[in-house]
Amino acid sequence: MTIEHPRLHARPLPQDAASGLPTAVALPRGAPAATVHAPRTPGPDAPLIEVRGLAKQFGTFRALDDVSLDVPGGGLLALLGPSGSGKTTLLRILAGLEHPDRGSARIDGVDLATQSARQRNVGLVFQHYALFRHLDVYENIAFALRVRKRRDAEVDARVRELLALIQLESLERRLPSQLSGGQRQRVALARALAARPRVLLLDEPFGALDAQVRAELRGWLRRLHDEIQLTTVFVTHDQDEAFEVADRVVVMNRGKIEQVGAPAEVFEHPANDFVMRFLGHVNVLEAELRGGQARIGDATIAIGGVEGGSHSRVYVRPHDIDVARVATTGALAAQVVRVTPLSGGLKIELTVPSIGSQLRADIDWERGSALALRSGDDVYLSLRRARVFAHDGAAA
Amino acid sequence: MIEPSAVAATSEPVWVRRIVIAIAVGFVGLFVVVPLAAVFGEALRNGLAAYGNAIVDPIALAAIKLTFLAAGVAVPLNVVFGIAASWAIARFRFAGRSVLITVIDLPLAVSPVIAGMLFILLFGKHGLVGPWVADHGIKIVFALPGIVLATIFVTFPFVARELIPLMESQGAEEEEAAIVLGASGWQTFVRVTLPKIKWGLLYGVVLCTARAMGEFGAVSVVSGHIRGRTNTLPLHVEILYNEYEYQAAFAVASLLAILALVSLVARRVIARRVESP
Repeated sequence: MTIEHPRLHARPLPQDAASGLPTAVALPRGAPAATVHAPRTPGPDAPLIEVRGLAKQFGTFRALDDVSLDVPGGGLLALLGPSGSGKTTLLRILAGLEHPDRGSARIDGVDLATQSARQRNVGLVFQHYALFRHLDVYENIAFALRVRKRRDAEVDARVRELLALIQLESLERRLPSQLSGGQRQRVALARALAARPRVLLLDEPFGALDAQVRAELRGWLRRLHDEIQLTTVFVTHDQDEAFEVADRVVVMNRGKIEQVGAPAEVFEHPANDFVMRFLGHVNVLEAELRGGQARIGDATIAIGGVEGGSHSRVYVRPHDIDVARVATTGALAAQVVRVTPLSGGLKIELTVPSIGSQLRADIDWERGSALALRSGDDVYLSLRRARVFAHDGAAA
Repeated sequence: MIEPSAVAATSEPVWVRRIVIAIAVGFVGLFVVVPLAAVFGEALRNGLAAYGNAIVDPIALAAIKLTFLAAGVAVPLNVVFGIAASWAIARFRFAGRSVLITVIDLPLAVSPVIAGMLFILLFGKHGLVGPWVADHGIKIVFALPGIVLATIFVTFPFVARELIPLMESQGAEEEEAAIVLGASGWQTFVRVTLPKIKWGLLYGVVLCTARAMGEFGAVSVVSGHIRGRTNTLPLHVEILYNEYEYQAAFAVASLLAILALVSLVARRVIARRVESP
């Protein structure tokens, strides 16, 4: 690292500096609560990025509503959410391009409010790259070093190193307009890395690329991260992308964090109905809950944890529905509407007369060819797994 | 094999096309090319020596000098103003923004004579601030400062009007990138913004310069027509013409025509660069 270590000039702050901020309320249900009381003085275990009670409003639109988050050093974290969920605003606040209305953010213990965007030394990759159109690949990458008045030899060595990293050595004299989308993306990344930033921020890094280039670059970004171990935060609205690339996923919605966790954890144990709905297709069924069981039409399924005789919603993933030709106990009678082949099997659209709703079930090829389903066939559905959420936002 | 029809749905019979083209070419010829040729014809009627004499005449040389001086002051000031105004309008949302956009176009809407009158009303002997500046020994009306002020007034829209749409379409992402990469405000301007807008800026400068040198109305009101001192090229042409010195008048006028032709070519060349940076 050529930059001075930020910890050396971090001002020690009083232990309760953040306690005045409404941090606790902001923690998402299901997130580890221990992160709220992280020590103020950065130690070896302290998170590299600490966000506390950030709020930002644009006119009447609440982009960030009291968001707190810890990002451990060296990790690759995805901010996942629909458009307008506040993920890009959070990223821009970390980069210094927006100023929060309330709350604080620290990188390596240094309060970002004390540093302007140009002093922060974070690497930012824009969704549409924002490459300097009048500069060639080489000078784009060299920019951060040129404005720091580094010697030519030093600039050249660093640029060559990065050109090799992004495998574009032969294109160093091309202008951005002469590059493909994927190449521009890699140049933008190299440019962001040139001054050896403390943190790398990526805003929808693959958003403007076609599917194949996207898939390639995802794998490349993951390998690159494993190689350089730079703490990375990236914004995406695509859960496949978040799950494939990140080791931690932060699900955001309407300016708030809904859930934080490893991809498998978030997918297997969604904290609420929003996360459940956002992470892939889900069937929503009306049900009566009684004695640990949900009654859906004339079928019954065991549901752990949620009690009470209330009317509620039950969430079932398409791959958690088993389709059979013969009736079993607790199975729902249904009729096949349409069968569509998917990459991993068959998508079966069904109608369930007893509850008057449409369902989707995904089954694998083997099962599909054994059943040989056609539209109009009568089938029986058993729900392998279903979820009920105590605070169902959709039911309210 | 059937040839695709060369006649598209919108194309007209040959005779219609010929007539339309003839009207366009004829009109331009009659109202632009012939008069322009006449300027040069008249200028050279008494030979090259007479043409040269009209131009190296001390009074004519003084007018040339004054014209370049006024443009030399007005154009750089308008470049600074134009960049500042278009930066503010394209980048910020502030109270009075739409008023500013409208006011920038004002000099194009009002008659230049009225623009000249404004400065007389302000700085004249009986004007609002005229007596005050006179007390401080500053002469504005019927002197160089008045001519420069009038020139600035009539030419200030040109740079800003070129840059506002350009900056709005380019957005501020590259500037944001530069700042995050550690550039200061000045470094961002010199290394990113200026290269982005340079062709649009140059186009505005050419328009601004051409107008500054050719301006007649506003300058005529404030200049006072003092020969050899407050006469610009267009005013000198008028004086010569009024004194029946036709050949000399056309000789000086041909200089303005050459300036116009040069700026026309410059505009063509630059416009191509603006469209494909």
